[in-house]
Amino acid sequence: MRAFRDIPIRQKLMVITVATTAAALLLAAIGIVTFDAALFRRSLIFDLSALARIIADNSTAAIAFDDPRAATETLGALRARPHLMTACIYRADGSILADYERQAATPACPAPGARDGVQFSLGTLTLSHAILLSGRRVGTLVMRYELDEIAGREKIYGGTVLGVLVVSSLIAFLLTSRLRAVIETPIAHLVRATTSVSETNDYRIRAQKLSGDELGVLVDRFNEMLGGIQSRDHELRKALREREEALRDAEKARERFRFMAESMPQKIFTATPAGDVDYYNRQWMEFTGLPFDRIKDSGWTQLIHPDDVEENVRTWRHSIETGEPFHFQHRVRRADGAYRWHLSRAQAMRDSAGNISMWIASNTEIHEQKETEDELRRANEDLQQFAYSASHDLQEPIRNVAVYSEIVAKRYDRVLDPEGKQFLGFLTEGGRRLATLIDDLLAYTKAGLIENDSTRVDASAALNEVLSSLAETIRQCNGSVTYDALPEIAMSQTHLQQVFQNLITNALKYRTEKPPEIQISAVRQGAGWRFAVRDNGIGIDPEYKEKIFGVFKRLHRNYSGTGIGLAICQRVVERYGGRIWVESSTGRGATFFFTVPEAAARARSAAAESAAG
Amino acid sequence: MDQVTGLQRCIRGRGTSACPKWLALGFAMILRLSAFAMDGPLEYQVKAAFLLNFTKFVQWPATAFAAADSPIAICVWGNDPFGKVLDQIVAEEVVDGRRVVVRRIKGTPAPHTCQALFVNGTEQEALGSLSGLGPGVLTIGEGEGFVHRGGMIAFVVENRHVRFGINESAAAAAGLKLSSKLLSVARSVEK
Repeated sequence: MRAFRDIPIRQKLMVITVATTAAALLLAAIGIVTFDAALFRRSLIFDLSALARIIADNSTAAIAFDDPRAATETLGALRARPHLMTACIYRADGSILADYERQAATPACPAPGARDGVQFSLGTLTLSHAILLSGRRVGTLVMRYELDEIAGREKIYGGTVLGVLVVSSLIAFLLTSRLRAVIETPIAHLVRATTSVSETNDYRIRAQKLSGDELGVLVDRFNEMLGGIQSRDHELRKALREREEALRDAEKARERFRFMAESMPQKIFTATPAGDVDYYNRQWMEFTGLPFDRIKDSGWTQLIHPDDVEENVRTWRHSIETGEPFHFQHRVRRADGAYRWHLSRAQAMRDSAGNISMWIASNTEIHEQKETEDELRRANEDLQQFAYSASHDLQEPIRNVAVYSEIVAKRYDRVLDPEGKQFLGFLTEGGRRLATLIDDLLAYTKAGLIENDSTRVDASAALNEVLSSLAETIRQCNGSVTYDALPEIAMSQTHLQQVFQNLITNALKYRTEKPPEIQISAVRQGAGWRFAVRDNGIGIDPEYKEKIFGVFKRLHRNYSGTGIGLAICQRVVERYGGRIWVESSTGRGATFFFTVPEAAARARSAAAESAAG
Repeated sequence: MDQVTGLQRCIRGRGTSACPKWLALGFAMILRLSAFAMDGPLEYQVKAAFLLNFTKFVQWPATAFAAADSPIAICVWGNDPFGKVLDQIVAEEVVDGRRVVVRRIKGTPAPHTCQALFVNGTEQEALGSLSGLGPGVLTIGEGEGFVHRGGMIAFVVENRHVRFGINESAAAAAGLKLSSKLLSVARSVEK
């Protein structure tokens, strides 16, 4: 079967056709011969039975009158049947009345069987028939028939079938030789097409359709498949080309990044989304003096100052988990073992889907700035301490000047001539002004002093206290102060009172002819509050909007004042992370705004401010 | 042919060495024959059997019988050579739906009494009366002369075998129809 499977279709067709023809003919022949034999036997039995009936009937008288001659004559009629070999008529007692033998050599009559009927044995048929007279059995007719006839018929049939078999197989062979081209040619075309496609990988090749049958359908499908492969091949090549370009672009981008990272004075590193460092630029290696392998992934922790490392790791973890930008100041060990302050920032880079693809970080050495800043802060603190002490120490002699000036004015009133009185007046006035100036300076320095950050104050209560201390002044100028319900804010009471005191005093001071009207309100701004103090005074030229907050900056010489009030306000507000500004124009009144952030927000912005500094 | 005729030779009493075998086989099988073989002359035993067999090859007109179920009567005229043999042979025989009986008569039988009439060879004087029998009676006699004298069937002995001759025209005149098979075994047929 294996061998059959591997032979060409051409030969398969041949074998199938010839085998089918031969098998069909053989089966038909067997069927015909078998049927014919059966039919022949049946008709033979029928025929012989009829013959036996006639002979039996004709021999009744011969038996009845025991006449062998007549019986023999009756049997003589059988001579017309060439295959009937023997026939005998027996009397009722089993003795033979007459017999018939076709040839002398044939065996004698068989004894009448126990039963009437037909019996087949090898090559012969024996028929036993009762002879009846008036319903009584008077004898038996026995005939033996030679079946050579059937064998002869079967021989003729066999020969015929064999002949037809050979002839029809030959015809089938010849016909198939002619007709096989119908099947073979399209297949051969298809095979050629597939072979050349697989050898050349040229998907533009198409098989030729030669028939509308299954082979034609096969060719169509094959061509469709080739079409599909061709377009897919085209797309694949295009996709490969695009991918190569994309890879080249990515490589170029990577090179650009490397070049930038390597040529920057800052230290640069990148990390995986999980937070493992996978790149340090040259500056890192040079600074630490360590190879990349020693500091990659989380190897950097060994470089961080022991005091900073714990919080550093925590902050870094927080950013990795939340994706928030990383921002930290820490000391990093240099190759020579010295720790240097650095400001490290890291930003998550996200892909189009919003997932973090990597972290890019820079580390800026801020050691010098940090030291300068510390020195500056120390100097500032010293200066503040000095100013505070100086102001405090100055109060005593100034008070003496004022006190003794008044004493001189009272006791020596009669002694002094007018000119002396005038000079004394100048002295007293100067002393008083000096005392006010020193008070203000003291307040200014106090405004910068750090108090407890968690202090909170009810702004309404603070305002009430200020208004009661200013009640006399307000009454004298016939002014009015209105205010909304004010919130509780994160500020010390002293500082908030200083701000209110200065702003309201200013509003009362720089009034027009009209009685002053002051409105105080507060609105939410972000996490904190924005306060507004509005007056109907003389207003401020926009040109001076910024200048007025400077120390000793005075716009109006004809108004009394030290020029420190607004500087104190600014110092206090900025001390809490807020901002103060004014919106005004000449003659239209002025509105001072200041913001007070919540404590937490203030801490962050304070950190940012110091970092930026 | 020796074997085939063995039985007859036995019956005829001229038996050879085969005779005892045939007597043993054949007569033991057929009681009737064995019975009369003991007490009557063999010739008349055969003739008695023939008498019965004649009735099977003859067709009587319906007018020959007194009634539809009347038996076929075989009559023996005058001197009876058969004795009990004939009675034994026809006992319980039914031919063409009719029982077969034996009657012995003297003188001309009345109509419907006899369907077959056997006339002994010694009763030659009775021959003159045959013409008065009327139709429907089959007449059987002995000797070839019987058929010439108007008889229908005549027993003859030929080569020690009992055979018979037929006068077909006489039978036809009596309204009887003889089977062609009967004619075919007859030694001679008068037309």
